[in-house]
Amino acid sequence: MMHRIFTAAIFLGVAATAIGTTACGQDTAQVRPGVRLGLSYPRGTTPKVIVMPVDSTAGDSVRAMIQRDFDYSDRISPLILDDATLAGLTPAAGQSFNYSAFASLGVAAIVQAKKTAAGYSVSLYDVSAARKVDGRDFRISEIPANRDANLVDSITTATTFREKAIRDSIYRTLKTRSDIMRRPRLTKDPRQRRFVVRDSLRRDSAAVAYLKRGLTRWEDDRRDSVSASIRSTAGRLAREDSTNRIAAADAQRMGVHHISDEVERWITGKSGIAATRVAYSQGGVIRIVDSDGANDRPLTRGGLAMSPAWHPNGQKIIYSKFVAAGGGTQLEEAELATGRTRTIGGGGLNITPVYSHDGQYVVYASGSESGTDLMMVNVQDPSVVQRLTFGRGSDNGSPTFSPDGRQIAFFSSRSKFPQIYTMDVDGTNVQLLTPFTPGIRSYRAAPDWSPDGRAVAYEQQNGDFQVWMINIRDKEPRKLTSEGENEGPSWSPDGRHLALSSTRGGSKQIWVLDTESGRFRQLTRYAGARLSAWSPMILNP
Amino acid sequence: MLPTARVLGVVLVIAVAAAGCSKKPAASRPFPRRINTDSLVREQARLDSLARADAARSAAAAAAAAAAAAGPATAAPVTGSERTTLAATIYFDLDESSLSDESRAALEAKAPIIIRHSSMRVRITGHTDSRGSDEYNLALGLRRAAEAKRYLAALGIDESRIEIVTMGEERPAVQGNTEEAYALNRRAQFEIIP
Repeated sequence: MMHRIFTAAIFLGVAATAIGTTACGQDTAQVRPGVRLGLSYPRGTTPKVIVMPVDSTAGDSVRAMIQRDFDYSDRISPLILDDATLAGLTPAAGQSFNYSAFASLGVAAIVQAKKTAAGYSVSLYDVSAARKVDGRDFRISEIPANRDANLVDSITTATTFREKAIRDSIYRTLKTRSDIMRRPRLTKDPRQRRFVVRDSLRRDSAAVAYLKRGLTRWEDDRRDSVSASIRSTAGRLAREDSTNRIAAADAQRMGVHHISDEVERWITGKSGIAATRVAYSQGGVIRIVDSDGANDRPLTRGGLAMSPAWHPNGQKIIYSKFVAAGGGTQLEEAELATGRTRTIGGGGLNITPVYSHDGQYVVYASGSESGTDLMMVNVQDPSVVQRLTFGRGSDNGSPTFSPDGRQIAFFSSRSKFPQIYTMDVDGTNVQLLTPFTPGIRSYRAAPDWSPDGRAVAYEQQNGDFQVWMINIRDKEPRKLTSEGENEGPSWSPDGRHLALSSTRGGSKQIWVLDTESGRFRQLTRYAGARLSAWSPMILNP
Repeated sequence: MLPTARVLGVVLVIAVAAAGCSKKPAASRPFPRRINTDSLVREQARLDSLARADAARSAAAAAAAAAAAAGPATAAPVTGSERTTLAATIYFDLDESSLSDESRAALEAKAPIIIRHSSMRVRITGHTDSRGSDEYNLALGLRRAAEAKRYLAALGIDESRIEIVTMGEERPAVQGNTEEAYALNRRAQFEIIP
């Protein structure tokens, strides 16, 4: 990665000198459209970037988020200055930046975001070129106001009004009926064989008593049911309201992450990974957390669910879930937006599902008395199951697709202790990926193929468990962790960061490791977090 | 006679014969060849357990015959001691699904009870300790339960009466990260399906 940027930087430098113009961060004339070269900055360093104060009510939090996203990207160093220094660097209205002052602080670029009607207008200024090099408008929706306080009042008013209307109408009906009953009527008397006039007075008092009883009872019933309906309606609307507000806040945060990722692309030539999420398992519940550790929330409720995996569109998650009382484990698919779930496949042991890159198939491990083997099932037609491994009594699981979708890496215990193997997607051409010495106890599991296809990360036991990665081409393993126990690695979409479970902080938590700098940061706060899965880029939050 | 038992028997005869042969030339060599006593002991233990399995099988067969003689209505209630024997947990070595001698003995004690109560169905749940891949451990737990089921089937119990499931490392019997806790968690549990 760095190498490419360095090359790009040299190219830019040469081009700039030759043409005699100022260095240009977005000179895309000679490269494929959509590919950017980024700013030029020294190799092996991360460019220092200042995010100027944002002038809006949410401005401070927007600025803080962008700075944090830059920091977590490990590619850009946000320069955090005290207010006085920052104020001295802020140009007066209509003036341009004092670039030499920024240059003396070692700043490579300035990011400025201004509030617009629909979101933010973001600009990037190259300090060495002393000019604006990129800019764009980003649409970010507002969070709707909280309606909770007015909700019950308005519903009560509406319902009371309606109740009165209904009562009036029923009373009118009853009144009419009583009027009719009060009228004297001719009835045929069977004994006297002639028409008589019945006593209208008795009927009248009976009718009035009946009406009074009926109306009172009706009012009692009505009052109870009305107050119950007010409560339930108010509750439902409050829930909807809060869901909408949470969803809007969620979308707003993702919107800011998109700004960070895009600005990072302007600077480094490669998009960031701020607009992503990590799914993980904790206490039997599948949870989802944003890449910056915010917005941690449960996806499943109750039961015991494990091994989440993302649909390539980032909108669905599949996992295995224990069925009560000896029912084995089932695969379940959940839609993030609605929470709707769907069971895929039958009973028995069904674990470690992953989607194919087109989302059409799920590869998972299915256990029986004769071992556990990998299967492939059509998501739309789960009755079509194709067996991929023939382990002859061994255990095979934790499949992970190569980025070209042609190969699958998985663990297999066919040589006693689990090792990492690769095979073609049809189950042929099985090859051992991680070398081992016969007779020496070695144990490797939980493989995850990097999005750039170059390496597979996995966990390995050498006394305790640590995360390693192995280069596909030269089969050179590299140890990535050593503090505490570290397990279950999962690559970020940029192929540079890993989410993994680690006990380095005391309890088991999901941490993010930058495989290039070795920097660790804690992502989750609930003890016992494990089995993380990094989402693809979230495109439409 | 089971095929596996027969093969084991043949292997044993060869092993014992080979061990016997190796003693004589040892005297004529400058360095006495070391006899692998460990494997001999292990084979003897295996032989003993096979003998016990045979005994258990015949006892189970006798019980079945007695039950058959007593008539088809064998709905006698399960006694407390039978329940205790059935529920006895068996334990496994690290990353192993093979049965130890104690585990075999425990299964041999369970078999006649299951045979005697012909309508009884049993569920075996395999568990692992907390170390290692959580996902691999699910498969390992299933293999442990399957191994116990295979042995019960070899003792004459209809396979359809035994159900196997796994909980991997999700339901430890004992909390903690000590060797003792690990050893108690590597287990298979038995229950009567109601």
